[in-house]
Amino acid sequence: MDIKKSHQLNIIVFSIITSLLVAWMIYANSTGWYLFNSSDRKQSWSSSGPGYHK
Amino acid sequence: MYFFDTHTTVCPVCQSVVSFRSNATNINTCSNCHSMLQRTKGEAGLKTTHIGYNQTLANTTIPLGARGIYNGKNFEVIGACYCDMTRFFNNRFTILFTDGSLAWLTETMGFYAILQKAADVYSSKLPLLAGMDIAQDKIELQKGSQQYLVDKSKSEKTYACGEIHSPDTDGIFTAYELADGYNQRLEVIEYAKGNFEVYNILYCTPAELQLQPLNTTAALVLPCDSCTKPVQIVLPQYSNHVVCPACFAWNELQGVDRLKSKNKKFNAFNPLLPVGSCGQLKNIDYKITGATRKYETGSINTEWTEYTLYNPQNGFAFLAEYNGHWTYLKEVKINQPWPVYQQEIIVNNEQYVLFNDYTFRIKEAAGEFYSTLGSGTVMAKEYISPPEMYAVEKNDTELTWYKAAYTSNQEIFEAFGTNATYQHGIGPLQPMKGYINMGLLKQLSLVAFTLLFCVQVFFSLTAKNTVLLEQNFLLPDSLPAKAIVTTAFEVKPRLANLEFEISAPVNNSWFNADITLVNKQNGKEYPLDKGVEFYHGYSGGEKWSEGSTSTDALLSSIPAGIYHLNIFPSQGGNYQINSFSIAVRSDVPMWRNFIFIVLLASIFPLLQWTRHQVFERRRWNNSPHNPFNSEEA
Repeated sequence: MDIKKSHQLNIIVFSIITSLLVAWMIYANSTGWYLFNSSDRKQSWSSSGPGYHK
Repeated sequence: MYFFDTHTTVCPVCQSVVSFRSNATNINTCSNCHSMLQRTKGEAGLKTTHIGYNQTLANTTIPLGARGIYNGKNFEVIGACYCDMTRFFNNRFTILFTDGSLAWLTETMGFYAILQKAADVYSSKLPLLAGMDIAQDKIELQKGSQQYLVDKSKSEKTYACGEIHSPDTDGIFTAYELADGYNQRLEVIEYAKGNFEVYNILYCTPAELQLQPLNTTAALVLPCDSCTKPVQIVLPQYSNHVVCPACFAWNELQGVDRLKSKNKKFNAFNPLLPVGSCGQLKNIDYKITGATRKYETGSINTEWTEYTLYNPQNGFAFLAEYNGHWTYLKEVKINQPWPVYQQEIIVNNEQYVLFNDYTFRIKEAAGEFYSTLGSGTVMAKEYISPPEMYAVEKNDTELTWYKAAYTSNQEIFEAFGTNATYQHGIGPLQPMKGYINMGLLKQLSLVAFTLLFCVQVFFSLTAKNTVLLEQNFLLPDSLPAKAIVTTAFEVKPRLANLEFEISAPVNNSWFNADITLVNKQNGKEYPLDKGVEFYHGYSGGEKWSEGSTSTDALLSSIPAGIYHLNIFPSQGGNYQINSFSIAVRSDVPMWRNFIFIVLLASIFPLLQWTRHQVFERRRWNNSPHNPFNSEEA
């Protein structure tokens, strides 16, 4: 593959990635889609509580 | 320039009629006896001159009678001078425009230019040119323009045919080419001592001039002066030296009918690409006319092969092969002075970094050459911006810039049917696999991050941040077995995030709220388990604290509807608390989303940058100007 084609391909890949990320961001903001949804996290604390200090 | 009245006169040798088409030319060829004849200001008739007529050399790519266009004006070639400048041949054509004006068209080693008389020249400074050093001294020949010398050459012999203008008639003159560091070039011709003419050099291409017709030149075959075996000279209009393919003697072409041995013999040299082979490279049909093996002075094993390529319309180019890496070079007329100390140069807004500076000599040679090989050591510098490079060479008489580009083995194979079967290290201009212009990627990354930031800022500014619930709760001494149920609230947009802010006055204790968001209409539940803790104390002579009395949590994409919360509180630690509060907001900005997406967007450029750094370190290991060494030191 020559230099120009390789360069163009890389630029196309980067542009596609960026476009998808921008689209994803717009979608997430429009629908309130939070990537770190608190309800998905399980907290397993000890019987003494979250920060037990002796 | 003197303008003559008469246009037709008689040849003093054969009495034939000699017609001048321009009243500004003073030398013409008798079409019958080929005598070169001169008319002189204030004198009637013609007399013969010392300038020779040579029909063989006259057979250049541009014949008399060729027509072209310059600046929208049609012209015709009515005369030509072929000047042997020792190092090269310079062809000067007299062109007559349809409006009767006259100009020179020059061609040197495939470079074409129109010469037009320069105005407002400080003529008193012209004699200083003879003492100037190439690319070092500057001179102000025109107001506000500092010029430095890029080439100094002397015409030893001149042949002519047709009509020309020449202040003297011995064919000997000195030509100085000057550049101003920007875009202006001047040519000063010193005919006899103190007799100067100054021209603006306006470089152009045969295609721009639309020259028609163009000739192909005929090869010469002459006996070697050393072994008498026949030696073919493919480009007699350019070449002045040739290596005999039988005895490898170094011959000088004298005139067009004799080779003279220069008492120098090379060893047998069989370059990878044979001299005489043809191929299409960079979309140009080239013939290999010569090959040299060069070495860096002071270095034991730094050797490379350089091929001379020729195309009638595009002139000369070069192909260098070092350790299996190929570089295509073409002379360019850029007005950069000799870079004495510069570690980098800027050409057309592109930065090129000094990779190598060295002097070289010729070890072996095959084929024919327009330059006098081995006549001295040449200083060279190479500035790279892979896969391109600007290289500059300087000796006592010229400063020459070349633009170079990396050429793959595949391209060489497709062009000439053979290539280097080996490849060592990273070439100075070699692009890495999966090449991408890092400068452009940097700019695009900046654009991408700015775009993502703008999108985030837009949604942050337009976020409604609606408070749906803000309530304080009292905690009894013993925690209730039943859930605390909040008042109902309405989530309005079709889908929205919900932010929960939980506060409790914990003090060396913890509080936890097991919250369930319940849709009153369909009973769907969204669980959330979140707590706060705050501890502080005094140990080791220092105060410490950790945790916080408030925290927040986000629920994603909650559908519109009427909701309430079921809260199961729990607590522990040294101090019991008796209240806590919860606030619920909908449609809040989500900056953690933005940070995560930016991190994702960074992966591709970071990956490319890392690959680029590793590759560049390997490339620069071969350079005495390795920037990575200075970074590490």
